Amino acid sequence: MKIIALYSIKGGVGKTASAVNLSYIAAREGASTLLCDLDPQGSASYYFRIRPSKKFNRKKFLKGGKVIDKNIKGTDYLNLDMLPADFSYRNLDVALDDLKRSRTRLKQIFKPYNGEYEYIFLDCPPNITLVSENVFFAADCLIVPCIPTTLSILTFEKLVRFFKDKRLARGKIQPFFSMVEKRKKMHRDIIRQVPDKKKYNFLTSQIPYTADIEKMGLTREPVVSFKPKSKAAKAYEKLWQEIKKRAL
Amino acid sequence: MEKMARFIVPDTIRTNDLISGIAGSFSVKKIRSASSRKQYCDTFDWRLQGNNLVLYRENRMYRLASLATGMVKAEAAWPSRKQLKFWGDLADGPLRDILHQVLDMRALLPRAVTISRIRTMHILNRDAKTVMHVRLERYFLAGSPQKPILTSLSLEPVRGYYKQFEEFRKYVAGLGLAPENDNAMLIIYNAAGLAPGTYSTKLDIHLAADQAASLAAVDICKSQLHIMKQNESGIMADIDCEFLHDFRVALRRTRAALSQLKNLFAPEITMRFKKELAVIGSMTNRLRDLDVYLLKRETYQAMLPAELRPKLDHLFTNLVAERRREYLRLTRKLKGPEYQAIMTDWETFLQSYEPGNDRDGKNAGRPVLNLARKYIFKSYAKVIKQGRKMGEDAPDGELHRLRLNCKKMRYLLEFFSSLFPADRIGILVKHSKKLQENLGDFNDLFVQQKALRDYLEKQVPKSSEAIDIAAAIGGLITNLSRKKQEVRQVFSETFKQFDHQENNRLFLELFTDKH
Repeated sequence: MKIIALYSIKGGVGKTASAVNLSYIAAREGASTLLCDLDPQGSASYYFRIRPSKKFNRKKFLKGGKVIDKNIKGTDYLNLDMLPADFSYRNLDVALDDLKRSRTRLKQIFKPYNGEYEYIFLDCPPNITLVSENVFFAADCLIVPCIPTTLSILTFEKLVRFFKDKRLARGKIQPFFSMVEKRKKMHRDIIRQVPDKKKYNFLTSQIPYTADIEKMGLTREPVVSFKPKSKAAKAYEKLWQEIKKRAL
Repeated sequence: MEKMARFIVPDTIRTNDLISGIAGSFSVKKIRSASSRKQYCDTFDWRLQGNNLVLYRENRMYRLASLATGMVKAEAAWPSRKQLKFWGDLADGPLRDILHQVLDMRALLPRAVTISRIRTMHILNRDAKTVMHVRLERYFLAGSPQKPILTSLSLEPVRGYYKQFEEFRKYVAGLGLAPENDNAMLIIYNAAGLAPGTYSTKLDIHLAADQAASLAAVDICKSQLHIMKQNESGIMADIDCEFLHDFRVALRRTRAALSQLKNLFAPEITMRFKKELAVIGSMTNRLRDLDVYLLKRETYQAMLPAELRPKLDHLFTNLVAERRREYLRLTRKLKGPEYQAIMTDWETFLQSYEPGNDRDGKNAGRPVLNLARKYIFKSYAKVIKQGRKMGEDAPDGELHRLRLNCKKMRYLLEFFSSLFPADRIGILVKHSKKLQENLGDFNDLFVQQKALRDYLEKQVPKSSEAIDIAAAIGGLITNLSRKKQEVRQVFSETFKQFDHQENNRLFLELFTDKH
């Protein structure tokens, strides 16, 4: 079982769209897949039309076990299940802090699913808190979407430094360029310069900024499902193959 | 966690009405139509059916499903146009493993072919999320496309939406649809003119305690004759080796009845049929021996170190060729005048037998219960006496004799089990079966060892190849000899379990007047 986190300190970089499409592709290949929405905004849950049960909340999530089982729901797609987020997750870090083993709790929650799921995708909230530390510990790889701008790269460097300071495995970090607009000079420049520096280790696949991806909010389907031949869909397919090869 | 519900839709409900009813009460998406051709198969003795399973071929896959719910448990790709015959023909995987366990050496036979029209619907919730899958399937027998034989409604839940599943299930039940159990397959097979589960080699004859003994014997023999006849075509079509095995067991039981139940029919009749049935028996001996050797191929391979295994190929190639010759020979004989005449004679005798003619033996009119008790106890006493006398060093021949007596005892127990309380006679049959199997294993090993020795003697070790083969077979013989010793040692323990106070008490209680 591999745990793949879609993570970024910044919001609006294409984390959720990536989580939704990559998990869809993994499931379509036949792998039993779970998408876990950790973002209280619940965008991934919205895309899949799944609401959490009224009784579900952050405390129950952290407890793990049967209560999580009951809240895992099948998506409309074969092999793909989802654990929807609850708005109470906005204070998930506080809830974690109250518990023992506050940094490794998330990994323990997912341990029983080894054997049931081949991949667990985590759609993470855009911040750096105790929840994120749990994700850093639990994930086998951390897929980090970056918009190719100077500020994005600066923020990314902060993440790398955080890992260094906390002595976490930096090899887990797999960044890629997201929402790329080739007509913008800054994008072209950043994409050309940054991968030259070995420490960044960017994936070569990029996800373009397209209207199709934005349309996901309307169709409520992964773009790979409703427009499989589009530029966006092909980009996600390529990205998944590269992630599998490099990191899993 | 995977539940599925299936219902049978009665003829009184039109499928279009059903669909519009569902569309009216629930939010429905995507009513898709498809068709499917399913080729069902099972062994001659309905092993899959007996294990609550059903196997069918659909598109280029073989699917194994639960008989009751229709849920697919395992499946495997099958690109060939030929039918799947044996479990070993499948590639590694869960389907192969399950079939290995259930089918053993029996071949699969095509049983029925259906063509179905399928309509699938997705039931949605208020967020337009699919919360359940519904499938309406209308079955027709291939070749009769106008008459639907079965309509079934399947409900498949989506994980996490079981409330909606239960709600829909209640709705369906409220329409008067019956939940499907094994009925669906039965309806399909019946429509195809088949009666699954009706072939069995188990002795299921119900005798009455005061029935005339000769009539009881005729009943027993009739049931065995029926089994023999049912297996004839399977033998001649060379489907699998169990047809011959079942044929021979039925023949053996018949001969045991004739020789163990004494003084029933006129002596010349008994003698005549004993002789004629023995002729049939000897027609089948060699082929059965060869079938058994060929079944042992993998076992023998496993007994040898890897380098020597290929040396066995020569031996087996010969066996395969001889087996083919024997099979053809037997088929000719079964179609031939001698066999037909014997079977006709025997059948005519059984069908036209009437008790009370003065040529019958003195036991003919006696109540069968008395005779049963007498003969069972006698054979049991013989087994006990022989077994107790058997020392550690008793020659192999003594073990053989004991085995034969044990077999006779077991057959008698089985013939007359309906006359005694089921649970108690069940215990005795079970224990005697265990003893007989131990002795049977010993005999098996002895026979194989001898056959290999004979083969070895016929080989002239001129080439180095021949010497290697001799080495391989020598290795096998040694191995078998060792196993034989192990089985021999287990025998005294097995016999002690049989010659146990509880068993002895039961035998006395059921079959004598002394307690």
